[in-house]
Amino acid sequence: MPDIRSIDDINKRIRSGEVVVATALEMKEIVAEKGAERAAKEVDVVTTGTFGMTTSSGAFLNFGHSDPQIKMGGGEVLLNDVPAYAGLSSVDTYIGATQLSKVHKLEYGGAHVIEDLVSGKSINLKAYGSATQCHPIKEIGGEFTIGDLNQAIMVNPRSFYQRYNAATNSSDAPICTYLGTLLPNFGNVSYFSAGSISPLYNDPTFETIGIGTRIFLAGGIGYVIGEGTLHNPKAMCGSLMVKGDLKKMKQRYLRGATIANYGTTLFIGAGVPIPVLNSTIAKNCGVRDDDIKVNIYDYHIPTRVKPLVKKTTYKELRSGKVVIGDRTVKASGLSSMKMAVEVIEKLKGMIEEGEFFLTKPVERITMESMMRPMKLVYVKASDVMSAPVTCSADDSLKDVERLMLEKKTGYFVVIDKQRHVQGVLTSWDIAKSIVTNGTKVKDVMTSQNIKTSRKDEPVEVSMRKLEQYRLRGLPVVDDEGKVLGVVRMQDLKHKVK
Amino acid sequence: MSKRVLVFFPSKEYTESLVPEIVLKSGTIFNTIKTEVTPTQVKIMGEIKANEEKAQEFIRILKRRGAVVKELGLIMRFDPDKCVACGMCVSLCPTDAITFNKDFSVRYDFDECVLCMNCVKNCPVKAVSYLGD
Ligand code: SF4
Ligand code: SF4
Repeated sequence: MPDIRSIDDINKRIRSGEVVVATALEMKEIVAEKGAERAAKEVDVVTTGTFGMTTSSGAFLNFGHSDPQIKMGGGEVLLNDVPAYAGLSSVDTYIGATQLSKVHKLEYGGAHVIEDLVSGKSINLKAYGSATQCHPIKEIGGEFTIGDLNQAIMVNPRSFYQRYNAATNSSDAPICTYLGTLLPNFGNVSYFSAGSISPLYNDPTFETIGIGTRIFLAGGIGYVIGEGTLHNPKAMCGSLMVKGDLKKMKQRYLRGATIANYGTTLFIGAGVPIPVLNSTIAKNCGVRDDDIKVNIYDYHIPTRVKPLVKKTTYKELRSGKVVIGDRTVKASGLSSMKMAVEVIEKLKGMIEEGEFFLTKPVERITMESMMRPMKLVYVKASDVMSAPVTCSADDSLKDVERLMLEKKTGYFVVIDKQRHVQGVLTSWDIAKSIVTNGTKVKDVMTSQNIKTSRKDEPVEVSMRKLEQYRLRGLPVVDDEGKVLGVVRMQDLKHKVK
Repeated sequence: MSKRVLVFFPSKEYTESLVPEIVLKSGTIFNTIKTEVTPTQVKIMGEIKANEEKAQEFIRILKRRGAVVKELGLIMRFDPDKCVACGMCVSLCPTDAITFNKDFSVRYDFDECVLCMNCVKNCPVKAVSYLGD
């Protein structure tokens, strides 16, 4: 579609007070009623926004130099007992939202430090540095407020994350997740995102949102500085990296939060203006909650890939009730619609009042996806196992005793014809047979609750089992439960090194 | 109309049929929310479903049967200024005590509350608190 106006045109209209701004909620009605063409003619800017948990968030702080100087970089920095990053220069730090207080743990974290800074509260600083010739001070402590800092710059590596999964729990016990508590037996459904008013649903192909886009960030002005981490636009999971001046932010739009038994995070209210340059953009802004698909997964399984419970839409989720099987389950989104609506209305007001001008991106956000699971090289049980010495349940203990001397081992895996593990037999079991008068392996072997290691299990996991259950060895099995080898504590100790 | 009360019975005065007996006699509905039994006393948190006059009569009978009765005012507090209307508590509440208003703000109706503490334990910004105990 050819453009019918430019960002410069829009800014001229903001200056002259003629600009027509619609919130994302209003725009959906306009597009539905009048069609994208007319909507594009009538509306200059659409304001979109969210108010949600922005876990990948934090702020750079600069304290200014002390006299004599301290070198915090390489040392340790604590803000209200919450550790901040000490891998920068002598008086710079980064406080991240999820870092927990050393004293109050889950009750207070980096997110709360940031909220307290924004609300003007005094923060306790403790810093320990390494004394050098030019930075002789080793330790510094005291109180400061945001006004005492040279810079306080919020930089969030992942913002406006487009789509999250919704979560529920099929097990019979409650579980605590980043989506809050999930009650047992599909007791509730929890989800994120403001749905169809959230920025990236209104501009899914990043036509207008790019590097340099000016945004409303927690009550102040911010900028998009690139794609965010886990950016996966092709799967409708785009994200943005943003920055803004913490000194201009307002507590109303920035709140430290604790997710019970999980961790701390920061609620941030943020808005993005979308310039309606053509009717395609207007059409995109017409997206509705029933157009947006969400999958509900069963979170009681801790693996990355979780069982799908139901495919649904934001419309059903937002109704507050979701039908799962033959039950109606309460659903709530951990992103505040009330505050998101306040954000888009506030941004609309700022543009209309001439307090907020639009910017033209200096570069587009990539549409390439970068989202792969974590790849780690680790030692597996099968890397350190030794050949198993096996016997069968019907073997006589006499034969096994002979085998024990021959192979110089006191640990046997008892298997059937298909090499499935049936039990284990140790020299201690054989010794017991003197008292119990057993003659066959099956009389004395351990066959209940046999612990095994999967072949691709990290050795740390095998080691934990060996320690926890005080075992001499663990049979290593393949996917069908057939024995491949044995891991023993003594092997682990020297092989892992 | 309902009134929250804490009722303490010394163990020797208490039998399991005591409360149902009083309910039958007075014709007033009483919901037991929580019962705590210790060797020396039985502590019942409950809700009298009646108007003020009937509730007072019910309390008088309880006292006559040996109970110490403490009337509870609001034992839950919701602070709408702290609440960010994230909605987390809404789906955790086993009753309809927490609902959304039209403007997506959150409303608490403590008459419906069964004091399960889900909201208190889970609210990420501590906008709800329990004032009892
Ligand atoms: S969980 Fe807390 S902040 Fe969220 S809606 Fe309930 S009371 Fe408000
Ligand atoms: S305590 Fe339980 S029943 Fe009462 S309002 Fe909170 S969640 Fe609902």
